[in-house]
Amino acid sequence: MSDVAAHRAALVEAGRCPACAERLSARALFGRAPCGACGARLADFGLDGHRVASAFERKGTKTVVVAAVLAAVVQLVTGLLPFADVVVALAIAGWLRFAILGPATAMMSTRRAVVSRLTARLLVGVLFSGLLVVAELLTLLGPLGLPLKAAIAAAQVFVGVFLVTRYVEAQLRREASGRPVEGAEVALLVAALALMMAAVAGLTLSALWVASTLQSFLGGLS
Amino acid sequence: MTPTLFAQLLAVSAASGTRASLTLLCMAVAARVTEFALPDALAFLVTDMGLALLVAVVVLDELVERDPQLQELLVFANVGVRGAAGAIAAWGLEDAVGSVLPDVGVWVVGACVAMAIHGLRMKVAVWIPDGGEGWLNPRTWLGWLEVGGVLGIVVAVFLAPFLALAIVVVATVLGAIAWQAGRQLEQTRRRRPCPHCGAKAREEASRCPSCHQPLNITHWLTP
Repeated sequence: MSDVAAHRAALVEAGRCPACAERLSARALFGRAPCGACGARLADFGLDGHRVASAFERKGTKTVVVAAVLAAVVQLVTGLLPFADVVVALAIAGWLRFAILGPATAMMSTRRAVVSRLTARLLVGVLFSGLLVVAELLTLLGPLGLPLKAAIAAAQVFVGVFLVTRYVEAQLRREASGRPVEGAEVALLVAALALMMAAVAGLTLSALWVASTLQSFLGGLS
Repeated sequence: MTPTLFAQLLAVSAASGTRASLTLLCMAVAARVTEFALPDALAFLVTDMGLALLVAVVVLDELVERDPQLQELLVFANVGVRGAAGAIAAWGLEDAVGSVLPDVGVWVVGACVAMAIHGLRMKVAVWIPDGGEGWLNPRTWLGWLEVGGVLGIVVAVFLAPFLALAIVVVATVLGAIAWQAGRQLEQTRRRRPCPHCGAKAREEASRCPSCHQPLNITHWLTP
């Protein structure tokens, strides 16, 4: 591949027009419209949006391995400290969203980007929360539980990062193929949001009830 | 309309344009714990269930505020919600302190100010980099600043109305300056003038986006 061809391919992988280097809309990036700035089409340069998904797959594989090894090492060093794994998990989740989710969803249509981001956050939240409970319990075993805790941390990060990168890659491929966002994907998110709002409202009602009960109790005492 | 009421009206409407549900929650809490009273039609907001629903909506509102793409998807709904909240907040305030304007006039002023402030925020937001997540993202800091500003404005509306208005004016001017600065930056960063037509082309470009003439690439990328 010549320098110019490699440069153009790199621009497309970064979500930019291979000719004028301006940011491409999802439709232009995946071959369904010309560049909004200069009118160039990816096909004119022998490029297509599937390249974006392939580049993401390469980057995702590296990320999975690096994140899992990093989590295991940090866990071995800080494993005896209660809740150190929580900090590690939060840092990895933040990095995952910064390095994987942000750049990938920036290349998708708005609707798919929103669905992908929220679903991935939900996935990471559920996985990390569940597995952190197990890791915290292992802190009680002291030094004996340390290797086990490191292995679990590595496994949890591996599974979490693997699922998220594969999910985002699948969404990129679906975007490249022109397949629409499924109704079930939206329904799942709406249900999760409704559940979250109901939980917040329930907690607020409980707090108000406790405050009111305390007020009556203290009023009765005086 | 007294200058004090005018200051309160503008400040509370501007707060609604920034955080619609948080402003209404603050007013409902104020009505619950102080002598400030909302109109009968809005009394539901002060009940336990009303407060609980407002808190849930505040959480949802924050989720939307932190996701630029979700905001883009809900762009019209967001404008409508801000406008409605501005009208409701202004209505609640108007009934408490008395006014010479008819209700409809107060609603229109509240809605228009709220939607204008929201529009300015969206223009500024385009130029704020969306890098990182959580506290790494500049938008998160801006979000916290806005939430703090709204809380400060709503408190000041009741205690020092002119201070509330001053905060709104200063924040609006700063927002307008940030918007212009962002536009200027986008026109100069990593760009050079096209030798054929003078348009600003990116350094990585091999073709001018304006006149379509070939350009020398001055910044090379590798896959």
